[in-house]
Amino acid sequence: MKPLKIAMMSMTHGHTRKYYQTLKDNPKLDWVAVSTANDEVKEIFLNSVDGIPCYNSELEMLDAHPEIEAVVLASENSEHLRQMKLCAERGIHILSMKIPTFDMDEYEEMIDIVDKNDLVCQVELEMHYNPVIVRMKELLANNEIGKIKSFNATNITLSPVWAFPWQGVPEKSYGKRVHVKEGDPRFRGGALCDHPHIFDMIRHMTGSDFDCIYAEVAPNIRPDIIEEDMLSVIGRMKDGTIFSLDPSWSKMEERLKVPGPGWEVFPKRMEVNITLNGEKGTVMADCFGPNVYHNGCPNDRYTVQYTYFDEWIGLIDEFVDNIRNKKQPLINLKWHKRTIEAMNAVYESIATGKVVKL
Amino acid sequence: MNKLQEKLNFLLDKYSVDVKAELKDCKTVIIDNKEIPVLSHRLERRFVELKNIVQGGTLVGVSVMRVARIIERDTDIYEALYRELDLCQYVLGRKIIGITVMQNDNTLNAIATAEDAIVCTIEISATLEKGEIPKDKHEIISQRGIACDVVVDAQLKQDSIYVFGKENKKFTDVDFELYGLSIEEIAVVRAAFAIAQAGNLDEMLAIESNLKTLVEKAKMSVKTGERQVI
Repeated sequence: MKPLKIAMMSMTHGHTRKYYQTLKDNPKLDWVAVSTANDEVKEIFLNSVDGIPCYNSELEMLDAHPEIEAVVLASENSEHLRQMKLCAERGIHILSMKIPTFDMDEYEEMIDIVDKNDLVCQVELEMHYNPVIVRMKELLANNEIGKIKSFNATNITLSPVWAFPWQGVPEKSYGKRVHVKEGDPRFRGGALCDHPHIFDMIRHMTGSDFDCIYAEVAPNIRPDIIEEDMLSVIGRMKDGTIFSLDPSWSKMEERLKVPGPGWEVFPKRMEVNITLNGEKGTVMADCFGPNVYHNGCPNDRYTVQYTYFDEWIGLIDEFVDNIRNKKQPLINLKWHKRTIEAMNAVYESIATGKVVKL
Repeated sequence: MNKLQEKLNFLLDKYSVDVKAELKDCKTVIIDNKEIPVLSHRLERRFVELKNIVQGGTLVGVSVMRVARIIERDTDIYEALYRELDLCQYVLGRKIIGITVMQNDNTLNAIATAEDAIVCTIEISATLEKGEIPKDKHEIISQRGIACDVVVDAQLKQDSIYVFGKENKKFTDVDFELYGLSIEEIAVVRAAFAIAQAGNLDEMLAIESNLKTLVEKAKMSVKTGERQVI
């Protein structure tokens, strides 16, 4: 199979560096170029990767490389629609970050653009390529615990706002400036906007969609950021499954400009744990464990060193397969729309104090 | 119950507490002809320490308390909710003022709000096989630190001793004076003794009354599908 000529745009997203190894190593890919949104990310990229042409503007890159077949939109959420249009005009396939947009009119426009131009637009929800998730799906398929009665999950991390500043800017992460509730100085756009995975995964594991959602925002553990960092969500799926989801930034971090060793204040920087309670028993899973531990450099703090982080390999394999074999991605814009609607319902519930029916 | 009563009598005698305290069951002690709830979970050492960490200034700026508890099937999930609501109030030192609950048969999930806008999430399910030890986790997250009764990067609690022989065994012994009792049994004896020693009968009855109200509100939330304010 001819390698897919791929490029990256912006390089401002927190997942940008996850692609470096895969794009270099995967024989199905020919990494053609990148364009960077600003000098800061350009410098980080040039310090991290050798031999890939780096442009200051997207247009410059696209004009210089008409051979580009696909682009990873490694950008802030507010840039996605504009960049999708740019790609669509040239018939370039798209790998979108996990939140295409929270604006449902924009979302419809994205679907329309992709459909009209017959493009593959895959949404980056890498948990589907995690082996623990694969095992859980297998256990469910084998009816180990019967029908799911409750789905309880965490998708908790440190806050990326110091390394990826746009995530702390409501207009760039959420799309506009909206207070989380009346009288609360904080705005939408924080931890929730960073953590769609568990809202997506419950739909896959139950085969059902959201029926109702209730959420509360808790006091920030970082009082100096203007978006929510701690929130709790419960609700019910249409098949009766209840859920409890924690999409918080509940792990404290050092305020590094570039993620790396010593980022953690709490020993563990990230956790996705899922508990499925079923008719016949319970499955408890830690999607990123067990690990190894140290208290060495740079801060002598007890730290969890992850031993598995290869989700992007499977994700990119699927992306190439979808393009070359004209397949619909597992996570396409239309599928993902209901996940985004559920996340919007979380904000609505926080604002109104009510259970929101979907 | 005789074994627990013997241990309780031992403590009353050793520490010269001149009170007649009779354990009716693991939930109730009779003192002065009054049935007093022992709320024994409060005397589990882990919760005493979590309370001390939260209320003693080790954690600063509490935001959230997260609780998950999985128990044997055919046990009452609202009884488990009663326990966990009490632990939230006990550890945080704050009253719960609102609660929203979703229930599906023998599982429930709750979000409770406490004073100072602190949020408590409680996940309960009765899905374990008969005889299986409950699995639970209590975690408090604050601006300055996290406290938890499960070690970092683990899903289950550990035991003090593991024996790998023809028959695998494990032990967790936590009380020299009450050696031989399980953690739960120790908590019952310690709780009954603490009440007999402190004489805080009315306080315990008031706590029970508050918890019964909270559980009723939880059931009302399930029925109405709305948040209930206490």
